[in-house]
Amino acid sequence: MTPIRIAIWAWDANVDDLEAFGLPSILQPNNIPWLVQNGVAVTLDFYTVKADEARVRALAEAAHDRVRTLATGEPVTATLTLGPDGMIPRDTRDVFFRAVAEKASDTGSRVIIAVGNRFFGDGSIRNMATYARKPRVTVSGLHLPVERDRFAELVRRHMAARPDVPIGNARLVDIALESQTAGMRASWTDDDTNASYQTGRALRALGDDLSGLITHAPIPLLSQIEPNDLTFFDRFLWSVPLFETVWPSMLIAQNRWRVMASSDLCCVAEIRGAPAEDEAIAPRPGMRYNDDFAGEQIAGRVHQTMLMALRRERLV
Amino acid sequence: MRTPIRLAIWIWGRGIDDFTTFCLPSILQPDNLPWLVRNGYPLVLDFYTVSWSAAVVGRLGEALATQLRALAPDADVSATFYVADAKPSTYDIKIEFLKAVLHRGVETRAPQIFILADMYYGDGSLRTLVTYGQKPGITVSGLYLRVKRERFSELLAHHHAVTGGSSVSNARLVDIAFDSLIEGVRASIADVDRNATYSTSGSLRQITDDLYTFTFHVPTPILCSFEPQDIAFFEQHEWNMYMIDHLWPSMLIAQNRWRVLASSDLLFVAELNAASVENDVHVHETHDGMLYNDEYVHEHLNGRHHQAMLMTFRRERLPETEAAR
Repeated sequence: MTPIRIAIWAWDANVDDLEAFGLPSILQPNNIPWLVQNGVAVTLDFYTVKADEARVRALAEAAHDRVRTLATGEPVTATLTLGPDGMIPRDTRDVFFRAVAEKASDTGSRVIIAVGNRFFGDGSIRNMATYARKPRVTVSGLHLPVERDRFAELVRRHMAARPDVPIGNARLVDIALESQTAGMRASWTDDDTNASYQTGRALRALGDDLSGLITHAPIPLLSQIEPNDLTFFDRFLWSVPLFETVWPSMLIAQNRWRVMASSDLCCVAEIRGAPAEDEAIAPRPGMRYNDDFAGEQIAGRVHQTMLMALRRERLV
Repeated sequence: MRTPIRLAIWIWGRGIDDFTTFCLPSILQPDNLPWLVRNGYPLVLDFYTVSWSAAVVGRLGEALATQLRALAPDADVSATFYVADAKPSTYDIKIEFLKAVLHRGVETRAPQIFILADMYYGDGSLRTLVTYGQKPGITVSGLYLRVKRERFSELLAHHHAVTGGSSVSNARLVDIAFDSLIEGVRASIADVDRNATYSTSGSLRQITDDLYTFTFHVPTPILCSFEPQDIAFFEQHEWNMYMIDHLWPSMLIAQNRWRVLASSDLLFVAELNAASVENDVHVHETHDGMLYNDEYVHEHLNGRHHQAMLMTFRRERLPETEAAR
């Protein structure tokens, strides 16, 4: 298999998320451990800022120690990159993104950006990597925003009840649906009043444990970055939001974009506090079954035909 | 008041046996038609048949309507019968049915689900299809695979024997279908260098023991909401039957009326093929150098659109203890 780089970036409060959620999730048995046990050359690339260097270095060393002993093929390597001091968070993120993209292109590696506040369901990384043996494709999947405190409580409850059982995708869907952000809660379109028009997501309840989701802007989760992509990112000033929302349009045009349309293949929870976007949510009447999006995305119409499936498995 | 749902049930001749053996038991599973009736959906069973089968289909249709009405005190179930005269070919019969279905859909403004005699619907598929299909104006597709009728029949009987006759969920149906695929679909597995994906339009990849991805260039409409412009479309194409899955979805995509249920957990249908159908119609040559291929030689207007969508198959095997028993 082509080498995989896991780009793990965290600083400030995100380091807490990385320790509590991000790292434990990618270290679940069918994520990074599965890769290294199946002969994939894995590099753990950590990115942080000077102020958090000691803490992130300790986390990086612990993670590296844990997975390198599992490797059956190529040795697992780890790096730590420090961002420039004194930048605002958005600029720091863009600097890291540039380093990640250039490193992936230069080394011909696939790359998974595992931001500290992303929780990958067990098996998601294995499934993306298995599919992405197909050259050149970039893979997306289900990506659900959740509220940190409630999510943490539910993860703790799972760990208490089933300490030896990883949080697989179906369990993660259950936890994520029980800890939805206000924006997600306002995206259910079985009710006449909802904010789907504003959030770009339309959720529908289709069975006790089965829901459907249309999202206009699925984000890249496992990327295969080529030199022409570096030109693209350079033109757009290495903006991470454009990587997530505009780059897929170019990939679609180049037949390099694939979306895993079921939570069983891939599910990622994105842990949030009380973000401004949720405070601004304004549900409107007359939105029953709506799946249009006011903030048109270039690739939105392609994704609008795709009803993704969320299958939840409740804690017994 | 729920939107009425019309089922366009096409059966005649030898298809009647397939219908009673496979299709009918599948649509009568608890989370298919019975679920719709118990949840207050008015159902219209529109039978389309030919003159020499009209009497048998009439009795079958009335019996089915009666059976469904008995499921709930306020059940709203009716049956209609469209009878075509004898035609020179099966294709001509289908064209007449297609015209009738389209006109009926436009006149009644009701969503219509195609129910064909050789289709086996996983339990829950019709519930999901109808629940989602409440969104007005859309046409919905989903996952289906062609299977060998005899082998499928054996595995279905085995399922019923070891589970005491329990229903066949979508995930169980995927398992049965994967063990009875026609050779043309088997040749669509793109994890090997030599395969026929380039001509089958489908590309199947195994991700884990029980999870697969499927790229499919030409999904078929299953629940349709027809509009007057659709009649104009088919007239313009001289009612060519193949346009319904090969070209019409392109127009629906442009009009934002097309949705694909992209996981077998939402909907899965097995299409039973007799050996003659498999050997006469669905033979595909394999070629080397096709590892992970998902390109299709017969470019479709909407093929690239669907190529970005990794549909999912999830299979659920019989528990070993039950299988052994």
